[in-house]
Amino acid sequence: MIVYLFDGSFEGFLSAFYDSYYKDHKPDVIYDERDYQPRLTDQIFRILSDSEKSKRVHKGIFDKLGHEFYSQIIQTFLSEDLEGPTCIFYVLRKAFKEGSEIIFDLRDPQILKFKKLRTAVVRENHLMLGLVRFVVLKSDIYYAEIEPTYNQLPLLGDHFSQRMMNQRWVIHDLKRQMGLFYDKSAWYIQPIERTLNLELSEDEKMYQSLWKTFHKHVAIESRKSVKRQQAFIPNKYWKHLIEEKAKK
Amino acid sequence: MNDIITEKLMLLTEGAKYDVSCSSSGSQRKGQKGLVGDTKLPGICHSWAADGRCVSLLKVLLSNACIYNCAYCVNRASADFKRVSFEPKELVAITMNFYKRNYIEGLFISSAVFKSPQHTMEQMIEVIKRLRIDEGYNGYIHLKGIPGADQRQLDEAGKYADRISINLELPTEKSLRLLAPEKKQETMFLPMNYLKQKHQENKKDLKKYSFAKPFMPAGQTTQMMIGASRDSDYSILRLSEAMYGNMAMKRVYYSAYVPVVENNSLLPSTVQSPLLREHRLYQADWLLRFYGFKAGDILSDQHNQLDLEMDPKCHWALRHMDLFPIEINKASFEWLIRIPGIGHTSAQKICQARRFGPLTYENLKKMGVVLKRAQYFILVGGKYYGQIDCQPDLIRNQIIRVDPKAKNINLNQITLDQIYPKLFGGLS
Repeated sequence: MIVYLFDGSFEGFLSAFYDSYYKDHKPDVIYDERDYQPRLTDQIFRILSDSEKSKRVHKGIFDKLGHEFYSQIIQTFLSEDLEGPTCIFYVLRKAFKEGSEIIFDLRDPQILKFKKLRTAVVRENHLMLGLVRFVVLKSDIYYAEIEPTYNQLPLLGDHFSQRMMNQRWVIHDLKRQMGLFYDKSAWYIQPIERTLNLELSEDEKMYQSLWKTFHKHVAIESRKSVKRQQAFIPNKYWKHLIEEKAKK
Repeated sequence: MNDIITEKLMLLTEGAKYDVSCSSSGSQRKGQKGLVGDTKLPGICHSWAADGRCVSLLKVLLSNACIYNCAYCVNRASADFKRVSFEPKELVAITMNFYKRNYIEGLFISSAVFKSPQHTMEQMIEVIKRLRIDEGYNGYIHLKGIPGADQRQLDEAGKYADRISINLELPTEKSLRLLAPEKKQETMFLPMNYLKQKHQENKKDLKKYSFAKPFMPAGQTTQMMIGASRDSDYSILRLSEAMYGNMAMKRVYYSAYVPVVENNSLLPSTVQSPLLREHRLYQADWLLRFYGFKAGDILSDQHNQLDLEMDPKCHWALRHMDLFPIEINKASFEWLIRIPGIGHTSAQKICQARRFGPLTYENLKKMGVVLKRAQYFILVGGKYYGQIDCQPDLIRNQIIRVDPKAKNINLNQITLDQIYPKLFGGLS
């Protein structure tokens, strides 16, 4: 099999896509080099990230397939699925050949897979918009920790910079050790490697306890359903919430 | 100070939670420099409570000291528990602090009627005015309209609130007379109608004039309690239909009466499957709003109760088997969504995908179209995939057999007279 490996960045992926048009060997699969398990029969090409190449592909997608298509590609890419890049590669090639409409042809297993990956990311993203919990630090910075299944930070910047325009805030993805920062003018993503000083503001504990009180008492006893709560907020998300999960 | 606030929040949450409206939808407002927050058209849920209901808004009463004595209500005047009220500044501080921490999408402010409807409304408006003006709050506000408030107060409320709701309480005037004697349907319909007209004029103004300010941009909703009185599902659905039509309501909420108020001979002491009935009513409500059904399609004077054992679309389809089975590869969108088990999402997927070529049964399965019920009502490429004959009775049994909801129904029927001893002793 012909394997293209890229550095895991979106830019790297677009560079690989660019190269596939100019190299004699078209790839059967594309992998993030960090996920790749070598096999004897594989013929490997390492593709270097190249901002010129990726810009041209970026422009191509925007001009030919449109803005909406581009964001769908990004969303699917952020699923960090092992087969994601191969799947996106297939969909992109087909779309350039036959038009952006092909995205609806769910009879095609690769397109169906593309849609499923994307849907999972978008669904978690919508959940995150509600579940991100900020604590107020002494420095008046609003700080939140998350550990989403998919790489959500790039999809949270626009929402929270609108909503919390006049606050300084950080969303910290503990799993990926990345931070989404907002400084009252723009958002950016940077690695967070050192431990942060998380001294809480004076009334932080009080509001956390008020929120717990509200959350507990807003439930109607006679309708109690731990199963339903569980269905809406799967176990993995409770760790970073302030309110408490219902007990059986 | 802290303990007092905690106690107030606890009591005023307890008093508000039976109001079922939860959505934060209908308003799309961008963030602005200097203001706090924005609103999103579809709304956002921020948590789910132990009963599985979503928590989107900080839903509280301003006060629980009610002068009315509605039989079904936890806050009724004759009930014995501690009466408290928020100071406006307390509620404002909690709202702002919750909002900035992303706990909530906004405020849902309701209240028991204290002193008078006008006085209550005045106090509620005071809170949302402070939020908007003093705090620069730009997030969602849902205000419960108090029947009997002045028109001037409605004008004022609509300036600051995204959505206003006035509760119908009970489906018919007769039930109101019995259970909420201080309330009349007229005092609910009048302000609803007034708000509707203001809202529609405002929509036109917003298009014409740049200086026009939005009035209640997310529209109105309402709710009624079901199961506390003897009204049929048909009369409820007809009322809802009128609410969506004439009153341009965004939503009608149904709240199943679960016996909480003890020792009241006017109220039923047991209700059969209240939550399942509520669920079926919501399903029927969706058919009215999104599936092109009329109340008269779903029920009639003769068959005036929804079938608890199966969803109303399925029930409708079984009575109209002459229309089925429907060919998936040919039917229009409007017909696809009439097939039991196929909703908007599936119908859209089908319409988009079949342009590239005919779909097979396997395709449908893989695409995530739920075929559990649909299989009995469709043809795919001319072929019928239901394992049994296309007969209403057979299909009905088959569907009920595999539905976990239907199994839970208590089939020991209780007669209405057993449930409402005094009611029918006195009336019928």
